[in-house]
Amino acid sequence: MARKKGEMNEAERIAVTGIKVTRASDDPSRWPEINAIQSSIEDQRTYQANLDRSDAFLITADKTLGFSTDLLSRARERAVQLTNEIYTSTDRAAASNELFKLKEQLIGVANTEVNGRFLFAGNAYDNPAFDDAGVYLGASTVPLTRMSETSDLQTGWDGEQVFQGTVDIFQVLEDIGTAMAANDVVGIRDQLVALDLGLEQVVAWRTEIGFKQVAANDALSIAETMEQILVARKDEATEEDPAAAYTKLAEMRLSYEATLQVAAATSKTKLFDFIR
Amino acid sequence: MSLMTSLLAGRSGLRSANAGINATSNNVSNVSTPGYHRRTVEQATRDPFQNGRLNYGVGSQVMEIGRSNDRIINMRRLQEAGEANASETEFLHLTSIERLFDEDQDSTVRGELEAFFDGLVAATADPADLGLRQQVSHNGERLAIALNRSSSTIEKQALGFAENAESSLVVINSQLAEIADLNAQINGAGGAMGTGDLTDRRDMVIRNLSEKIGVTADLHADGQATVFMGGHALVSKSESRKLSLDPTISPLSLFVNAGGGTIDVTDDASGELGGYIAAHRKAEDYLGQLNTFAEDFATAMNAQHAAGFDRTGTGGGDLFTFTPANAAGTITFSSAISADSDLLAFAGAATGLAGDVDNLSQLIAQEDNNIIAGTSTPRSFLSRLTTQIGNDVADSERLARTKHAVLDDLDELYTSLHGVDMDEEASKLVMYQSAYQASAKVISVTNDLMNNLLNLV
Repeated sequence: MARKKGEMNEAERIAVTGIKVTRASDDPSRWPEINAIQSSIEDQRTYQANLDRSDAFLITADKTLGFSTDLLSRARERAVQLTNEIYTSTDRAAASNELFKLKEQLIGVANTEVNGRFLFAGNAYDNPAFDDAGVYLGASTVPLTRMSETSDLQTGWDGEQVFQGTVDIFQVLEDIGTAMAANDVVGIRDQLVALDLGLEQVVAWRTEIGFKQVAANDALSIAETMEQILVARKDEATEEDPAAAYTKLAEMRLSYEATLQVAAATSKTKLFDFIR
Repeated sequence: MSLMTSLLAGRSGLRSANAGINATSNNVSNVSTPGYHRRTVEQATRDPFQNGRLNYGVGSQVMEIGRSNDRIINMRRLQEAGEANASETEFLHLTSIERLFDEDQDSTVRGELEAFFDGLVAATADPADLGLRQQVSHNGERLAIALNRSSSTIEKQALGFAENAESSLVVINSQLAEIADLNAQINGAGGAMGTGDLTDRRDMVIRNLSEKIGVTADLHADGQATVFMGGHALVSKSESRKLSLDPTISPLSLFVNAGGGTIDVTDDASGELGGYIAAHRKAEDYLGQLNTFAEDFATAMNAQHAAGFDRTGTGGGDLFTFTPANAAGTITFSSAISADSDLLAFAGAATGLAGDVDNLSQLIAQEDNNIIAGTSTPRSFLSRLTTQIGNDVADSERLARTKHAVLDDLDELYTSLHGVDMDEEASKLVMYQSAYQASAKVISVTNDLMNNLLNLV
């Protein structure tokens, strides 16, 4: 009776909780696998958190370069405009101030930060990437965030490469502004090629950041899917099928009740009852 | 042959029936007495009276009030009782250690180890972020605390097992002395015959002793018993030996006094005491492995941390400190780093760059390196340890269940063969009652005949 009751209690626990494996002795042969699955689940959740955190950096970097493109396009528009003979030296002088302002804005944009982290300062992201003159203050190495067991995601950029790589676009704007102030139309025209190269440079970096966003989204999707698969595998290894659990419980209860009834019946009648 | 002979025969019948009724009433009154063996009356005819060629019977006599017993089944019962209790004791005590590693616990070593490395991975998102750095410190503290707690609990459990073994030994030595004393009483009372109650008591003590330590018993013709554990005689007739444990020796060992010295009998111990000793030895093994884990893990992480640079550009200090003799029990996370998480050496160069994660990547890589005992990653080592504990628990539970099932069957068989069956005693009572009444009738008739004869004179 005691043994049957113990078995019935265990069947009850499994039926109520739905869990058949909570410790190694419940299934020693599968315990290492269950441990490994649980660890992998926790890893996937960490990767997802990292990717969520990195999302803001990528989105902001993309928007920043988009705005940079707008500024450079405006600078080009004014430069082309002011090469026209109808404009006077006074007009060009006034336009030069606008160009200098555009350079100042571009430096400001290059110093974009998210939560105190300067996106284009490389690994030295706790300080502005450029000074007011456009001199790069950051690092040539870039921050990498772990997004899977085998790959990292770049979440910061070397501003010197982005804004001063093939073409130093701050310098180009400075030169165009200087040429306008000097009423030097030839000088303005000479800088248009560099300005176009600068635009291409920024667009190329923006495209690369776009690719990284796609990669990050893919990694996030994979991590989410992996987590679901691993959770399902863990449940399969540790949980009992409810129908099987309740069927077994019903069998245990029936067996226990039958044992009780037999014990009661055998203790009823003795020969002594019939001796007179 | 005369009427007196018939009278004597009738009287012997009364005596025999009376003995039978007495034995039956003794059986009935002891139906619930643990260890009681059914008494049987061995009856035989008396030597006949010979007259010429004729032999006249003169009734019956009681040869012996026998005690029902089966030495073969009893030996099996003693053996199974020892093994069943050994497995059950080991199972119950190892379960308390296994609970430390249950996945539904709030904090396990495995869980905190995973959290520690996950915290390092999370820090790659922004290694200069104060919150992420503090989380790494916090996780390191929790890992150290989990190791301390596991070590302390296993150590306390092992101590408890040893104390239980010592307490058990007091009872065991007392039982050994009691068996020797009962042997002496049985011998003094005339041996195997007529000493059923003493023999019942002694056999009950032997059975209890077997549950405690696992023994076998040899019964001699004089009714005395020699009790063995393995090949060592613990009780020989009226002399007993003492068992002892030496708490200063590791692993826990059992000794028997012999010839002025002691003999190590640990391997022969079964029963509850054997279970305590086995559980204690396993607990020490688990503790040893946990210490190996703590020491090797801390050493590897400290070495890697020292290869990096903190936010001020200074080389990394120890992440963990510990005492080699008791690494798991004494490991602590650096209080300096806990107080100032800028001291975490994530950078690979002394330039103090906020985003430099070169050394952080190497710290993370330790999770997959064979840094424990030179052969295992931290995760696989812990997994193997918990699986070993699980296997030990499952094996002892399975063995206990099997042995108890066999023991229950043997006890049931033994009880059915040598215990008191109320229906059988009821039928015997009827039989002896009829025999008594018939013998009384014989005496009555013989008396009438003798009176008739006397009246004729």
